[in-house]
Amino acid sequence: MSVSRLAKVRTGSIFGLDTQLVSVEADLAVGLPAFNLVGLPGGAVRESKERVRSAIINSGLKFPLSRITVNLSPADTHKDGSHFDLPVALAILAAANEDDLEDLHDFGILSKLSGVNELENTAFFGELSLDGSICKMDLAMAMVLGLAEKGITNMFLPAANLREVIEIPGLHFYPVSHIRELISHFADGEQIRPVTDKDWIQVYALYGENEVLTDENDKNDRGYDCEDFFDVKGQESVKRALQIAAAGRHDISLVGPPGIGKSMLAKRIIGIMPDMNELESKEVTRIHNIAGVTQGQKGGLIRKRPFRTPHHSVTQAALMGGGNRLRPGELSLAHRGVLFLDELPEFDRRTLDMLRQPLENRYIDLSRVGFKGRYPCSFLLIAAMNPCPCGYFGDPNHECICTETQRQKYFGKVSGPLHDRIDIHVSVGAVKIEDAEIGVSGVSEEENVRICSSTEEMRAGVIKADTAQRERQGDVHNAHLSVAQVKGFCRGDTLAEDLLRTAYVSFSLSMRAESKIRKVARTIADIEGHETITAEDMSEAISYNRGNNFGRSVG
Amino acid sequence: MDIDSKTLGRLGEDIAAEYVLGLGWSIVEENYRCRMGEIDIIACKGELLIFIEVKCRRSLAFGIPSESVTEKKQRHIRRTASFYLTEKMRIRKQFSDYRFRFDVIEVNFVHDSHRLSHIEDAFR
Repeated sequence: MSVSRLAKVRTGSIFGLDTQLVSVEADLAVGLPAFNLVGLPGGAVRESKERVRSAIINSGLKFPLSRITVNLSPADTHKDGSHFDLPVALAILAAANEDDLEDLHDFGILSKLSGVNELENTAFFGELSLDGSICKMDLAMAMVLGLAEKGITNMFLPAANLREVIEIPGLHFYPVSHIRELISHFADGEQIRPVTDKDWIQVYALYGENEVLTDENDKNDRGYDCEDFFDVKGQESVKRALQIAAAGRHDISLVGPPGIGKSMLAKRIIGIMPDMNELESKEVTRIHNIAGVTQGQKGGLIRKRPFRTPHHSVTQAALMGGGNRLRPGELSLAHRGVLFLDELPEFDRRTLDMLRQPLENRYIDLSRVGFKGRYPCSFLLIAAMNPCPCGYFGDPNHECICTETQRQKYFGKVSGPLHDRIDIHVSVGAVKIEDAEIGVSGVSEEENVRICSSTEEMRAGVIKADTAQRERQGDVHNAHLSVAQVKGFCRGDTLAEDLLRTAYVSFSLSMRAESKIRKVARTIADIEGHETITAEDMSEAISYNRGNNFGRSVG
Repeated sequence: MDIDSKTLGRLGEDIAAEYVLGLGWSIVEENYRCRMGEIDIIACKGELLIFIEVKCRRSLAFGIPSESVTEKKQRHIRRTASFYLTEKMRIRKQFSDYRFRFDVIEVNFVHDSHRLSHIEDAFR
């Protein structure tokens, strides 16, 4: 009888947005029986000792009678989560010899658990229940995506999580619903059949809770269910601005009196943005999974671009991310999608100013005790606000009742630097009676379509611009071009350059404003299909820079 | 029923020892004492060494006997056991390949008879 018996299996540990590969090592030594778990286990991991013991005993095995030491390596990082149960149990059983596991015969299994040690590309995770069954875990998606990145190709996971992750290609999933299945798999008993993304039909049938994947459901997932821009009448200029914003990822502010459809317009922008590719989809799914936010019930990858609308009472931590587990905040949840800040001046001024760095860098660096992390937050900002506290400043049909001081105080909440970072500023005006279709019965279908663009039409323009950008500069959108790229790509023809020079002088623009105008003009040219920026594109872009001034006096 | 608790304890240990022998285990030590504490019975079954704590009760009014093996008592027994093993291993090179277990045997005296229950692997 050897003095010490050793086994090592792999699992993962979620660390910020990252997943770290963790080795669970079990050592069964001679001595008074004891069970020690080392390697900075968090609360839930420490308690896994009790679950593992009960689960092993209740599935009819003996819990090895020796001095058990389980190490979670690397031992210097903090680990949390209940998914360590399964690897811990397996490591202990694999380290045990026949003497320890005398009851294996009851399963009709004759050999000890073999082959567990040699499994380099295999990871195990799952929470054990006291009877030995394996419970569904949180963060399965983040775990699978993270481990796949680290080169793990075979994953033993709770069967209840299978449906959620099945569509990830290139992996072999081994669904486990009881620890007994795992034991028999490794002790040459009944084998667990691996499934891949190609088996999704069977998996959905098995674990699908009677939900059939119809066209309707598929459509919802792809994001086409977004309400149509066609519903918004008489705001063609704003729709145009939103189209440009979506095409080049330019941050945009909408200023206008209450009740004219600012929120309505903003909500529809997801529908005109191009679909996320596989990589973006994985990124977004991971962030949302770790934050504990899910879209829809059925799990799987998030296909629809996120649209986040934090309320103006949002705290700094909720916006930026934080807490002791360092959850991603609203900014990161809006990654690859849209962050809509309604009633911008109502937000806390300091909260708003925190937006500056993320808007520029498109990531947030968070550091807390023992942890530093970089969270991506490449979103499109849509800010909506009224022109004054009463809402009617500058409206031809209503009288504004605010004093000058009130107005200044209102806009003072939005700092100049933040205002400066927004590419497109538009005023949203009241809808004319002809456009509102009130009391109009006989508008012919063609005429209607002509004056009111729909999501489908706008989307076509965005996709055209998207393709143009991709061909010219790769995966970067116009709004995120570097200084050198702006110089290279955002040149206008003679007339356009003349126009910009005039504007630069007469509006005394800043250098940043100039480069922003060039970027917006580039996007307009891309939508229109112009190789170089024309004077028309340029003048439209200049108008968006001057479109509203948040109540500040025009320079 | 007016025997004092010490006599009752001895009686219980005798009953337990008889029971252990009846299981086919051999008794290595009875009433082992050292400066760390005491262990009622140390028995041996193949390559398994079992440290047994015997608990007696006359009535269940104060809970079942095994409940009185508290964490503190468990710590004492563990410490005593490890002291015992160090001594044996150092001097006689005994038990070095053995596995070890802690059992509790409880003896309930009900009227004139007694009832016995054995908890294997009671704590670790």
